[in-house]
Formats: sequence, structure tokens, C-alpha cells
Amino acid sequence: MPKILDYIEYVKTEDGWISRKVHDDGDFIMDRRDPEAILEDISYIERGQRPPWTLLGLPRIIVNGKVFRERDEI
Amino acid sequence: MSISGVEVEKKAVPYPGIPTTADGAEAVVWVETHIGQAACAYPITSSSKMGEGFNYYVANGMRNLWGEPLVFIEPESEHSAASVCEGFAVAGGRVTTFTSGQGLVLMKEVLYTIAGKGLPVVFHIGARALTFHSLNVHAGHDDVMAVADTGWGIVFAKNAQEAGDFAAICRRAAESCGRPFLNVQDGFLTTHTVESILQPEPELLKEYVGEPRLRNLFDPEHPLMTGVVQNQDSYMKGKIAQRAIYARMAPALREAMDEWARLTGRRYHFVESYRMEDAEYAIVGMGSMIETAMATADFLRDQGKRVGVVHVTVFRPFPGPEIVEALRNVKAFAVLERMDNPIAQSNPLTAEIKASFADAIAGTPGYPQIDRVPIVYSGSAGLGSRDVRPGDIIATYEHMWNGRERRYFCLNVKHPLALEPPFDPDIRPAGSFSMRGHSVGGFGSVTTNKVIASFLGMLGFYVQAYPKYGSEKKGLPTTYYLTVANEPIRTHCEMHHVEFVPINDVNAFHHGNPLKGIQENGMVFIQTSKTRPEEVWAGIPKHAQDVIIKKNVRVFALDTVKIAREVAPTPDLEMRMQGIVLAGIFLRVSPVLQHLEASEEELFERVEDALRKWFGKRGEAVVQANLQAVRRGYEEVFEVPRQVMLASQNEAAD
Amino acid sequence: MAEREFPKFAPTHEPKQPLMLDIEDFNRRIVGAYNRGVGETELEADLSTAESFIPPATAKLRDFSYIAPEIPLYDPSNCIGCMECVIECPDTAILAKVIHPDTLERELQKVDDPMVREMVRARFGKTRKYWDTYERKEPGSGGLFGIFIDPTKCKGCAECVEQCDDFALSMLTKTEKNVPLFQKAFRVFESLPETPAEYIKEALLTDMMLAERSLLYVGGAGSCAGCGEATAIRMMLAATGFKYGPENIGIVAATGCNTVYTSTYPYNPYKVAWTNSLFENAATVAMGIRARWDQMGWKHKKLWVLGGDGAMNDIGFQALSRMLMSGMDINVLILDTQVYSNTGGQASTSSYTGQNTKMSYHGREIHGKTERRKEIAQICMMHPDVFVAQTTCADFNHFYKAVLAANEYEGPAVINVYTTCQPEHGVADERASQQAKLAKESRAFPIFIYDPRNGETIRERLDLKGNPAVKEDWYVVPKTGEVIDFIAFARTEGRFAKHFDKDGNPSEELLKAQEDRLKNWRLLQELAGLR
Ligand SMILES: Cc1ncc(C[n+]2csc(CCOP(=O)(O)OP(=O)(O)O)c2C)c(N)n1
Ligand code: SF4
Ligand code: SF4
Ligand code: SF4
Repeated sequence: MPKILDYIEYVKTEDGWISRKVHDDGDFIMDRRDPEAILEDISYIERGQRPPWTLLGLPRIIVNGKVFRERDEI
Repeated sequence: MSISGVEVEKKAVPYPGIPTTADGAEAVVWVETHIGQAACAYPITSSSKMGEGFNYYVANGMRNLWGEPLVFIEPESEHSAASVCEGFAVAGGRVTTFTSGQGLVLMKEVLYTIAGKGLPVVFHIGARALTFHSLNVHAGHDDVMAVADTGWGIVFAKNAQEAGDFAAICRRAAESCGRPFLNVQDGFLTTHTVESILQPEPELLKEYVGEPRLRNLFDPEHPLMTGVVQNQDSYMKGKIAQRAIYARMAPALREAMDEWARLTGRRYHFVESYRMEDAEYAIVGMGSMIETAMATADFLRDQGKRVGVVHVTVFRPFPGPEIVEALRNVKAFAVLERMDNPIAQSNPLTAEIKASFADAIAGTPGYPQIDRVPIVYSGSAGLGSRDVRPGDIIATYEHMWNGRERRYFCLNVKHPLALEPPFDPDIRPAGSFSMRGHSVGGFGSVTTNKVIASFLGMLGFYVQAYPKYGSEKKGLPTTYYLTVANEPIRTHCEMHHVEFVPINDVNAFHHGNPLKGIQENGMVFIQTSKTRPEEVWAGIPKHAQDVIIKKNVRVFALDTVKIAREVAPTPDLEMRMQGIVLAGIFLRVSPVLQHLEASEEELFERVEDALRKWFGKRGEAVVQANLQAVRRGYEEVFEVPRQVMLASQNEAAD
Repeated sequence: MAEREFPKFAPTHEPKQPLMLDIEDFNRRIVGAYNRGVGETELEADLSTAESFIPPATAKLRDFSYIAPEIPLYDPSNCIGCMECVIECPDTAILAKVIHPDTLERELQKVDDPMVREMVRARFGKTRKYWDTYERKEPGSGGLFGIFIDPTKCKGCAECVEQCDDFALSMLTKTEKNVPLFQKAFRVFESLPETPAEYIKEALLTDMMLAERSLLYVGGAGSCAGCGEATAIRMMLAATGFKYGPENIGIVAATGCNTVYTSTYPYNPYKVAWTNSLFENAATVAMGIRARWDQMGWKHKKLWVLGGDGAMNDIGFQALSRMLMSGMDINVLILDTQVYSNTGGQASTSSYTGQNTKMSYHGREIHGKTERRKEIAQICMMHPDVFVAQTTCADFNHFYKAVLAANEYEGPAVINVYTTCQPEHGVADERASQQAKLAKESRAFPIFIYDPRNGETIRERLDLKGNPAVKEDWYVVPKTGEVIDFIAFARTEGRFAKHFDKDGNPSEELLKAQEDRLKNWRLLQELAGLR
């Protein structure tokens, strides 16, 4: 069955920012692999903006465990 | 020259036709190889002859009238033959197929898709009885009736002339209305019967049918989707909308017939009325037996009977109003059909004619106003080429004028529903000379017969020639028939009256009666290696000798095999040469010379002309060999003198 | 009824019989009415419906935006530009372009809405394939690679997600708010110039779908979500179109699922000439077309016959065989679903032993199909001088090579392709290529190419490359030691479910099916000279 995306997650760890795509209530997780791209996303988030690649689709974004943007919230 | 059973307008026309002899199959192939681009056909008797004929020209590099090389494809079934045609036509090509019987019904599914896509093809049908309780390779109309409602125009020819002419007429009509046509002729009875015809001139075909310019529905540079899927939202709309297109079919066909008449003088109608002016009784039907009925009507008219005949030339689009118009004034008419469906309201043509009368009397717009309906009789005849004779036609009229109650009957079988012929007159044209040859399958008798027919045709006579085909193969006895006359020959029945019987089969006297129907003062020719009249006579069984003497029959003999062997330039021509020798004998014994009012010298000049026309391309040696064969047959055939016959009889009496 | 005047349809030469079809009118009036849901009631039974021809690509105008609950979400940062999602999508709903950054900026100037501009810009990323390699060679020459989803064509099957090994795609729940954004972005994508030729490496077959001439199947067809057949058709057209252009392609389709989902009035997903006659005669209709094309000197044009296993193995077998003996330059793509999919999944001779299908139900007495499977590709091989391939869409390079070779081959060619049929195989929507891959690995459906040009003997002509462990009976996964036999394949599909007991043990019949597959595989090995 297709995996359905729940949210995009950004977490600051000791090694720096990581980002993951969480599906099916956490049953399936995709890691995002481009650190540069993740950092760029963070720069937007720090400015209070949605990372641009999520503008199309408007998925929920969770940053360090807190909802940063709800689904459909620009 | 007028032509058998076809109305010829008596005025100067641009294309009067080329007088020749051909059977219905050849007449069609002539047209198709000139105007067509391709044929895809699968063998089935009797239409195979057309496919083979087309292929023969393709194999020899023939090009059509516009210089294009022709294409021939033999697929693995008629379903595929029709499908290949569909493909060729979808891509904008002018294409045909030839089929019969089972082949036609196997094609049925494809006939619908061809019509639905608006592909203006023409298929030629040698109508054949369907395999039901048994297989039969001969004429029947149930195959055509089985596909009568597939959206194709259907035209029935009753002789070879029409079969060829309709090939062109159907093509013009199809391409102008954008819908396909079946050109139907009776299997064997028309496809394989050599007749004197006027062949359409190539220039005529070029002008009349025109260059193939068909819409290409499969041009990748202008892509299009054809043959789509439709549901409740659209399928019915598409089907109903086709009414507007089908409304163009009848005018297109009428225009094609008019234009043909203007150019050739040969006038065709949807419904052909023959001697119907003041007719009280009529016979109605389609195909070759209706021409026999026409000849019979002449005979009955001479006896003061007010009878006529109606040939339904166009079965689709069905000419209901025209048929009512043609038949409204008769007391009764009988519809003869070459099929039988005992559980239908009536057989199909009868049913549609009855429906037309019902519409007419109910005041349906478009129909003639009538206040009575004639009595409608319906008969089955000629199924699987069962003979339909003048006597059967007379029986049908008699049934009507006696006002018999039984509305359905059949002809020429022993059955409670059958009508008994009161007599069976010889209605061949006056002065006809008929030959029935007895031979053995594989002996080239079919060719012999055709050779003689072509010959006589070239000498300016009307001929009709056909072999009697069974489904049996080599080595079994076969017979072949030929009639020569000074008028068109319109009877399409087996010959019961013969003037000349050539016998190539030594056993002919043992497994049948080769003298059946021989006329007073008739002639017999016997192929034999014997050279003395006494020996020849002695070889004839007593019962036959008695008939010969009683009917004053003359007996001729010659070893044509030996002559053929001597004159044939190559061994493969021997069989054919035997036929040519027999042609010489025919010229000697038949009244041809008297009719021509020519001297022997003049006769041989004309024979040589004919041979040159025919074999000229193969070189002078072949022409001379043939001429020699004719001459030797003519000169060397010897007669068994009357005294020899009587002497032996006397001996026997002693 | 109004008889309208029909403008002429640019014909090769002026035909006597007019074509009653005006493309502009068709798209506006007829497709328009259907799109508004009033085609059935409002459109007249006029002459344009009489023959019911359909102009090309009308299905482009069809909108499926609201049929599926989810749509792929693309994450450019993970994407390597492998194109596999684009190749495998059955509905042409996911497309890619490579664009120079300057061109992109210039184009974006034309977009008014700053959010849309931002959105579109963010879809393009720098991949090694189109950026790094170019930049290394010549700075400033790299291209940005971007993937776009057409929400009007996407059926939400998730085949693309399954195909993407790089986790660049996820399925996202559609909302009233995000769907219009997808539509807007896709409109901008379509307005962008075609991928310049320098970014399309001819040798890299996977790149073919970057070129517009390869995209000859526009989607909007009525196939099931994830249908394996549709992908095969798209891929065949991509390889053929890329090499020869749409103006040189025609398709004769045999009745079956393919004709129903691609030609149901008034939606046509094809940009090429197309015709259907019946179920069993596509090969012979093609013979007629080929004969006419050749007569007109159109020898260079490519003619493809499409049909299911029912159409080719069964009812149209004799027509196919006849065509193969014609020597004509006709290619056949057999969409082998191992079942009569269109009529609801009845057994065909291509069905596997034990398969639970209609007309060979798995019941208490009889356990599914009892006969063996007919191998149409092998039978075709035995017709002289016929190019034959058996392949799957999952093996896209193998598939593309087969198509290119079939096109090059001057004579009849047959490609039998495994096409997953979700409802009849009992597999999930996104499984088309995964199941095809498994079918190959398990010897259920070995792939091969048989090219008569390669030599005199069968072993020279027959190439089994592409199958794992070609010399062995079964393929064993190196890491896990799992044996990929037919039972392993059957275990993953609903059509064989009844052959396993509650502990997962296979039935006797399934073991027989396994034997059948092994025999077939060994036969191929023998023919290829590997045994
Ligand atoms: C003569 C005839 N018989 C039966 C049918 C019904 N029919 C249409 S498509 C089809 C099955 C198609 O199966 P296949 O060729 O395998 O193609 P698929 O639908 O599986 O792609 C059948 C039985 C038909 N159209 N014509
Ligand atoms: S979800 Fe399916 S239809 Fe949609 S883009 Fe992906 S593969 Fe295509
Ligand atoms: S399959 Fe994944 S990595 Fe490949 S092009 Fe598509 S999104 Fe990018
Ligand atoms: S039934 Fe099967 S073959 Fe037909 S459209 Fe659906 S998935 Fe495709």
C-alpha cells in the first residue's frame, strides 16, 4: 500500500540539522540526504518561512518536535 | 451488338464496349485489375477464380490504369482477408476481395467495421449455399442474406455482363457515398459461365471510376483515431447519425447507373421490369435464374399469357417503392429465392417485398398509393445450384394463374411442396447449336470448352459455355456445355437439348447415357485411336447404336491426342492442343460455316486472325501450331458412313 | 438535424469523401461538453458522431484532479535525475525537464504570482547528472533538473514513489488548497522550453522521455491506477518517437483493455495515428496498412500492433502467425497480463498453471488453471526471420533496446511484455514494475532477445542476458540467501493466494506450476546454449 506522508521533520542534533519525511504514522521514514539543502531550508525556517520546495503541496512541517507549519498553511 | 439480358440504349455512345467472351469471374477481374490498387483474397470455390485471376495479373507485373503496381495478398482466412482490406482502405487505398459462402459469413464481423468506418470498398461475391446439413460449393443466396444487414450496398448480377459492369458501378457509387458495396453474382452459374459480353474499355473505366483518391484515415502526419469505444452517451448517436450518410447511398448508385448508361448505353435500374407493361402475373427474384425466367416469359407471351418478370438488381438500399410500383397492377406474383428459412416470416426477399406492400397500403410517405395488394407467392429454387428450368418457371406461372392456395412452394425436387412442371420446352434462341462434351476430370475439358467458346465469340457468335462442376477431383467423368447462337442466350439451366456430343471418355457409354437429349439429326464425335469407321462403330454399345440410327445421328471420329502430340511445340501444350483440334472438328460439324456465309478459305483466314490475336504474343510458331491443329481437326475428322451403321445392324439382325 | 459544413482535415491529397471532423470544434464543443459532464445530454447525433473519429491527444483535456486522494510530493534535494519515475508512470503524470538557470530565470519573469514563481524555482535542483558533469566540463553549462506532477493526469497509484530508490517522492494527501497549486505549477512547467538537446544523451535510453517527441501518450486514459499495460505502451512510443518522430508512427490496436482505456469517446491519449477494428484481427489489419504504406513509398514509417495475450495468443493467433510469415515490416507489442483483463479476468492460454481466474476458478474441486502456460514469444521465434523479445517495463533498458531493435529490424518483430494488471493479479496499485521484476527473477517470465541477425543458430540469436543467475535454475539473493523461485513470486500475488495454507505451505498444483516454469526456463537455457 502506498506510504502516505505525515510531515517533514527537521531536528537539530549534535552533528547538526537532519531532516526526514515521516510516513504512515511513523512506520516509514525517508531520510533527506543533502545537508546543504537542509541547511538552506533551515535558513528559511529561521526567517519564519516555509522551505520553498514545500510550497507546492504544503505538507505539515515539524521542527524539533514542534509544529512549524500545519498542512495547507503557507 | 446487343448483349444478353441487358437493356442497351440504341444510340451512339462514347464507349460501346469491346465484344469478347468471358465468364463472370473474368469480367470482374478485368475491371478490378484496371481500376484497383490491391486485392486480398482467400480461396473458396467459386470465388477463388477471381482471386487467382487478380493474382495472375499481379504476378505478371500488371499495373492499374494510373500506372501503379498492383498488390495481392493471400492471408490465412476470409476474416483476415477482410481485415487486410480494412487496413488497406483505412490507409486510403482502393482494395477488393473475392469470396463466397462460408468465407462471406466468416467475414461478417469485419464487414460491419468496414462500413462503420466509412471505407468505400467493393467486395465481389460468388454467391454460394451455406454449409448446413451438408456442404455445397454451388450457388445459393443464404450467404449474402446472412450479411445483408452489415451496412453494405448489395447489387445482384444475373449474368457475366452485369457482374463486370456492376464492378465499376459499385465502385463509383461506393466512393461517392463513402460506403461499401457487395457485387454479387451466382457462384459457378455466373462466375464460371463463359458468355459473350461487351468488356468495358480501359479508357471508360479510367474516366468513369476515376483515379483512386480516397481519404487516408491512417496518415501519421495527420494522426487520427478510428474505431473507438462508445457507451450510452454516444454509441447510439453515432449509429443514428449514419442515417444521413446512408441517405446518400441510393442517389449515388442511381447516379452511377445513369452515368454508365450515358457512357456505354447499357442501362441498369434498381428494379428491372421485363415485359411487365400489362402483366397479370410476375416472377420476382435475383440472379441468374431470373434471366431464365425472362426467356421463359417470352415463350409464354408468344402463347398469349400476360406474364412478366422483375429482377431486383439492388437489394441494399432496398428499393421498396420501386418494387411496389413494378408489381402493383399484377394479380399475383411469385418471389423465387435461392435459399430457404422455414422459421422466418418468409424468405428474406419475400418478407421485404411484403413489408413494402404493407407500407404502401398503409399510406407510408414515399410509397406509391395503392388500394390492393397482389397475392404474394414465395418459392425456393436453385439451392446449391439445383437446376431451375423453363418448365419450373412455367409451373410457377401455372400455380399463380390457377390461383392455387398454397403460398409457399419449391421447385424441381420431389417433395409435397414442389410444383410439377407441365412440360419443359426448349427455349434456346432459334438456330442454337448446343454441345455437351463428355470427358474425364483433369483432361483439360474446361479449357477445351473455353477455347471453342472464345473462338466462336471472336467469329462474331453469341456463346454460352460452362462445365458441370461437382466437388469431385481428377479422374472422374465430367461434362461441359456450349451453346452457340445468333442471339443472346439467356437460359442458365442445364442443357437437355444438344445437337453435338463430343466424347473424350472411352467409358462414357458405360457409366451414363452420353446421348441423352440428342436432337434428331444430331452429331456425335468419338475420340479414338481407331482409324476405320467399322472399328469405331463396333466400339459403340448396341443400345447407343440403336439411338444413333433411330435419331439419324451422324458419328465422327479422330485421334485428337495423336494430332495434339504431333503439332504441340512443347509437351505442356498438348492438352490445350487437343482442345484446339476439337475446335477444328466443331467448325466442321456445326452449322457455323453456313451462318457465317463464308467459304472455307475465308473461315480459316478468320481463324488465323483470332489465333493471332490470342497467341500472337507467344510468337508466330505458336500461332501456326494452333492453326495447324484447327486445320487438321477440320480436315482429318472422318465420318462413320450410314451404310456402315446399317450394315452392322443388318448383321446383327441376321 | 443540422448538417454543418466541415472544414477540411489537411489530407495528403484531396479525397472525394470529406472527413467529417474539425479538430478545433471537436476539442471545444465535444470534449468541452464531456468535461462539463453534459456530453451525453447536450450533444446532438450530428454528422461528426457518425463515424466518431477522434483527433489526437484529446485526453490531454481530461481532468482527473479529484479522483485520487493522494499525489506525489517531490523533494528535489534527494533526486538524482534518474528519470525512472517519469518512465514508469502509466499516465504521463510525472514529467521532467532540464533547463539552464538563466533560461529558467527568464521564464519565471513571465510568472506574475511570486509564490508560484518561488514554487516552480524550488522544483529545480542540481544533480550530478545534469549539473556537475556539465559544469566540470564547461562552467556555466550545467542544467537544473526538475520533476513536475500533472494533477489532472495523476491517478495516485504511487508507482513513481515505489520506483524512486532515492526517496525523492512521497505520496501526499490532496487538499482543496494544494491541488490548485499543483495545477498552477504544472502550467508553468508546460510553458517552459523543451529540454535542450545537449542535456539529452542519446546513449542514455532513460533520457529519451526528456524529449517532447517521445511523449506521444499524453495520459488522461481510463486505465486502472498503476496499470502495467499503459506504461508499456508509453515506453514503446517513447523509444519509437525519439528515433523516428510521431509523424512516422501508427498503431493498430486489438480490442482489449488497451482500446477501452485509450479510445473511449471522446478521449484519445495518443498523438499518433491509431485504429482498432476487432479483437482478433489487428495483425492482419496492419498487413493491409503496411501494404498500402509500402505502395505509397512510406517504407520508413513504423507500424505497431498492440494487443493483449488474449488477442495474440488466442483468438488472433492465426492472424498473428500469418502476419509473421508475410515478412512485412510490422512490430507487435503483446501486453501480456496473463488474463483477459478487459472482460473481467478470464483465463487465457497465457495464464499460469494454478492461477485463480474467472473461467478457471479456484474452487473446492478444481484449483485454478490446470493447463500449462503457452509461450507466445517462443512460438514466434519459430517463424522464420522474425525478431522476438520478451521483456518487462521494470527492465527499462532491456525494454527500450528491444523496441529500438524491433524498429530497426526490417521485417516482423514481436515483443512480449509482462504487464501487471492490478485487479486481476491481486497486487497493489504501485506494484507494476516490482511485480514484473519479481516475475522475471522467479522465472515466471524470463526476459530475452532473439535477433535473427546475430547468426545462424538459435544459440547465437537468443540472448538471455538480464535474467539473474542465467546458468542456474533459480536465483538466490546473495545477501539473504532467499531462493526466488516461482512459489516466492506466487506468494506475493492474490491470484495464487488460495494455493497457500495458513502456514504458508504451497499446494500441489502450485508445485506443478513451479515445475512448469522451471521446464520453460531450462528450455530457454538449452536454446541459448547454456545447458
Ligand atoms: C470475437 C470477440 N470475442 C470476444 C470479445 C470480448 N473481448 C473483448 S476484449 C477481450 C479480452 C481481452 O483480453 P486480452 O487480449 O488479453 O487483452 P487485455 O484486456 O488483457 O489487455 C474479450 C474476451 C470480443 N470483443 N470479440
Ligand atoms: S502516482 Fe502514479 S499516476 Fe501519479 S505520477 Fe506517480 S506514477 Fe504517475
Ligand atoms: S525516480 Fe526519484 S531520483 Fe529518479 S528522477 Fe524520479 S524523483 Fe528523481
Ligand atoms: S484491468 Fe488490468 S490491464 Fe486493464 S486497465 Fe486495469 S490494470 Fe490495466
